[in-house]
Amino acid sequence: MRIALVMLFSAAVGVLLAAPWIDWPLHEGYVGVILMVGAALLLRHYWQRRAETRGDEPGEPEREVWHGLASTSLIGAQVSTALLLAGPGLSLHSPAAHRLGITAWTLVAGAVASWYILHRREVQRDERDRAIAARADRAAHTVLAVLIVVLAVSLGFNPPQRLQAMSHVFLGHVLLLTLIAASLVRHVLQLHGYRRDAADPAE
Amino acid sequence: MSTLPIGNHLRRLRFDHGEMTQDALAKACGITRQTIIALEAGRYAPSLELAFRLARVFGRRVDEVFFWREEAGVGD
Repeated sequence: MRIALVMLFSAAVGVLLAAPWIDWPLHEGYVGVILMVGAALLLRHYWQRRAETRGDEPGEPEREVWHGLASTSLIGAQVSTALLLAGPGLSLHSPAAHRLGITAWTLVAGAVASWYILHRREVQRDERDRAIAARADRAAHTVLAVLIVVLAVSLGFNPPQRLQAMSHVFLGHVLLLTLIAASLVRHVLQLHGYRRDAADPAE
Repeated sequence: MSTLPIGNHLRRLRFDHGEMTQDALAKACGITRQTIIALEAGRYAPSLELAFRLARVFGRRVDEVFFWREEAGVGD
């Protein structure tokens, strides 16, 4: 439930950042960075308190996955929405493409900054983390392969006039979105793995 | 709640060893405290290597730390 909520909330923020009807006081990329950094500061404080009071804070690898899920959902939703609004004929040298690129890369910078805030110095990954990651990797790889095959088949069977209407920029972004979708599957399954192992701490 | 066929006495052994904390045991074995929590809750079965490392911390044999749950319904 918590995994779905984090993913949906982050995606909703991404959609709002790409929404043309919202007049943000700053460039939407900067708004996204402020939100990501703010959320990371709050989360770091919350996890610190959990460590001190309940002792059930997530370990470093799990923190990385939570961060990956939230930032990937946000960036994926922002790019998807912007792409949907721009349409399949999105041209590389157009204001819409420039805005999409600047916003997406600003959000990536925000994701890196928020990761540094959440990141603890004593990185430790053990066999359980590797086993959880390996299971999630296998599923994500399958999802990626299926998405690529579906995309290839749909491109192959599309009428030529529809294909000609799709720009290289649009198709490139669709390919990137398949990677983002596979990455989301990986994060969700990893967090599910951690959740399955979770138990009440007993010091 | 646990469905794994391998159980352990880690919690009792920690207390028998001067109330060793989960963090101290984790550091002694080179794993995370979250893995100790999962092991004690019976939700994670360690690799053979980790099982030996844990047993060595307590100066015990592996079969003194870990045991097979007959009621798990898994054939020997």
